[in-house]
Amino acid sequence: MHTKYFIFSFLLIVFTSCSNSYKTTQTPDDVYYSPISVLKVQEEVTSEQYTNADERQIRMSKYDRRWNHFNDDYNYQYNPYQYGYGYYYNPFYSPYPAYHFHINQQPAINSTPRTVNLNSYIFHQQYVVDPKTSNSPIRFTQPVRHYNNSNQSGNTRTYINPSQNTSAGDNNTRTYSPSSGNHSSSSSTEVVRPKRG
Amino acid sequence: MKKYFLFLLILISATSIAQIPEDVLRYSWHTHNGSARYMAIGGAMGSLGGELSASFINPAGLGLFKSGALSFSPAFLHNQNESNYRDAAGKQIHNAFSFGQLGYVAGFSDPTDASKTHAISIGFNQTINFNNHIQYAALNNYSSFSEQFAEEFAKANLSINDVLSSNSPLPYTAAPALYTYLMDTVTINGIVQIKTAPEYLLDSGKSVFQSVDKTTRGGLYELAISFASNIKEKWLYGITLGIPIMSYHSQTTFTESDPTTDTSNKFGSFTYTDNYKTSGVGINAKFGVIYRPKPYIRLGLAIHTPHFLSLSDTRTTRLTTNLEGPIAQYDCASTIFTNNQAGVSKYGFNSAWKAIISGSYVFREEENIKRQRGFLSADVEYVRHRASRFTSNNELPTKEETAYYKQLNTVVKNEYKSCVNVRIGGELKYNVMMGRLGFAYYSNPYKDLAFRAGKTMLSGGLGYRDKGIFIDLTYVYTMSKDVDLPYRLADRDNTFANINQQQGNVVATFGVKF
Repeated sequence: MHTKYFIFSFLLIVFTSCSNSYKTTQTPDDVYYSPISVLKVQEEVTSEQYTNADERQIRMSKYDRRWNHFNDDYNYQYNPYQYGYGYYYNPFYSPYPAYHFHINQQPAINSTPRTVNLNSYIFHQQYVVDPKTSNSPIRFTQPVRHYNNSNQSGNTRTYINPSQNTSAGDNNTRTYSPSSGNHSSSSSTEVVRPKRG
Repeated sequence: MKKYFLFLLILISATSIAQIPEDVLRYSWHTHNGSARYMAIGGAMGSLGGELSASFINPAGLGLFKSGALSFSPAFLHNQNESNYRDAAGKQIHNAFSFGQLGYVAGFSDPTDASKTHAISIGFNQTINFNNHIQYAALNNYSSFSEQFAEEFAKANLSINDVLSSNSPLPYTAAPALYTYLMDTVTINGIVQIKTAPEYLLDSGKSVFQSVDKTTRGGLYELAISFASNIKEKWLYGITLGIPIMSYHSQTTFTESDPTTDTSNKFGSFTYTDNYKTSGVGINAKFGVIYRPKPYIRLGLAIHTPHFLSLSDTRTTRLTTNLEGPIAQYDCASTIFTNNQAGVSKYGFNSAWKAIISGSYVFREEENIKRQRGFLSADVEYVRHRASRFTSNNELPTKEETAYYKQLNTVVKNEYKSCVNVRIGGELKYNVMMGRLGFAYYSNPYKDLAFRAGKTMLSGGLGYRDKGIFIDLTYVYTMSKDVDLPYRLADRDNTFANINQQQGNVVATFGVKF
């Protein structure tokens, strides 16, 4: 929170200290009309800033030896990788020995996603009949779900009986039926439950 | 060896099997957010332009800029939530600061064609503010939060030893429930079943007391770079390339307890805390065009691509169970099932795409600000929530992964519908002062008729523009209706809380003209 206050204060100071070209004239509103901005180029050149091409070449030659060699069209001996007699620059050479750093093996990061039982989203089709004919023909179907949102609702809790399991793919009766023996992997160890009281 | 390899494959296949359908609305069903002027006119910026917020709605509107502007819009939020869960009412208050919008736009004339002008902008906006706090509590005589653990464990067809491992396939839910004996196996009529402790209470015709406390923080931020062209003041075109940045933090504490003084019914209470953070970045684009048949009429069309996000969830949970036995309390954190560190899952998500048509009428579009009088503007927005998609981050997703994504995306398609949202606003201007009013309505995205949802925004604001600066101040009052399902069961009717939110939002904009 303090970071936010700091950023707000900083931006406020920056904005209030900004100079603009509309301090004495009308401030345009771009929603209605936006005038073309005219850039004012400052033409003043001080004596120190003034340089000609020859001076620039002399300065560059003085401060950058490599630039000087490149600039000299008649210097065929120059090799930018050579420094001193018989020595060449090697970008792969290092005077320091290379080390193999020991890498600590971190345990694998568990990547189990946030999931929800997608079968809980299934709609049931409700048939809506024509109110004039009261029962037929069916006017249309609409997707509905049933909710239990009140403790006074008539829909009371019933025990889920395993024998009522008719769905082939889904175990909605909460039976304990592991598909195979114990799964284990080299990256996983058993977590022992505390003793039950 | 083959067995180990198979299990490894199962684990790898789970690396990006993705998330839950509710995430879709969190990232797609949100109100507008931006500068104070934009907020004051109800977000009706689709065809108006001449405002930095146009970069995030219809970038063609930036084409009206022929000079530069720099602006910053901080905001303060005041949330008041009223909940109704199983006929019990609750109320919570939550305040938060928001970064709002920050950006710079520069307009310039075309050096080769005097009839054209262009504008470029860079902006940063908090598109969604996730700061909120909801809380509700009531007696429930029908179902228990813990039953979702039983369903999940039964459906997984895993053994107890599979789940109770240091790198568990169900580390946040079933593993803590088994470890703390909130859930265990029991033989009934010769069949081994999975049962949770609160079920004994419910099966005997009694109730459990449930309490939900959910705090969310963070936001969906967007960095946008826009370019717009203005051709003969008749046609304006624009494009925005955006980088959405996700930072969402959710902490939910669910408590369920035995409201009676009976200490022999095998259940006292449990507290389950779910803490996760979703973060990631992505890319999106916005295309827009504005046509001006007359100087004072503007007609706009904008298309927003989905946010193509690459996200990761970092998650931990904690469960404390009191069973009223000789050993009263068991406690465990999910990290003991995720190699003693928080679990991380990665996945891709494409949010809903949008299309906006809009029109505006500007009274006296003149250079002399003393003659400018105001404008009216309206947007109609189409959002295709049901087109949101979760995707795998794996190059070669497994069959199980593909099947899960297919089912998840089918649920999204069936659960949510496309929405038409409306935004209307206007401004009255007198010299350097402006007054604004706005209205916006975001319609119900649920297909389920039982879920009543919608967001209505009323806004008003003032503006001052002189001496090269502009200052705007806006108040937005938002009334939202939504539902919150504390848990979902496939084999029983579900229950949900109705949440009514009143939100007060104060937005200020400080800007400089160049």
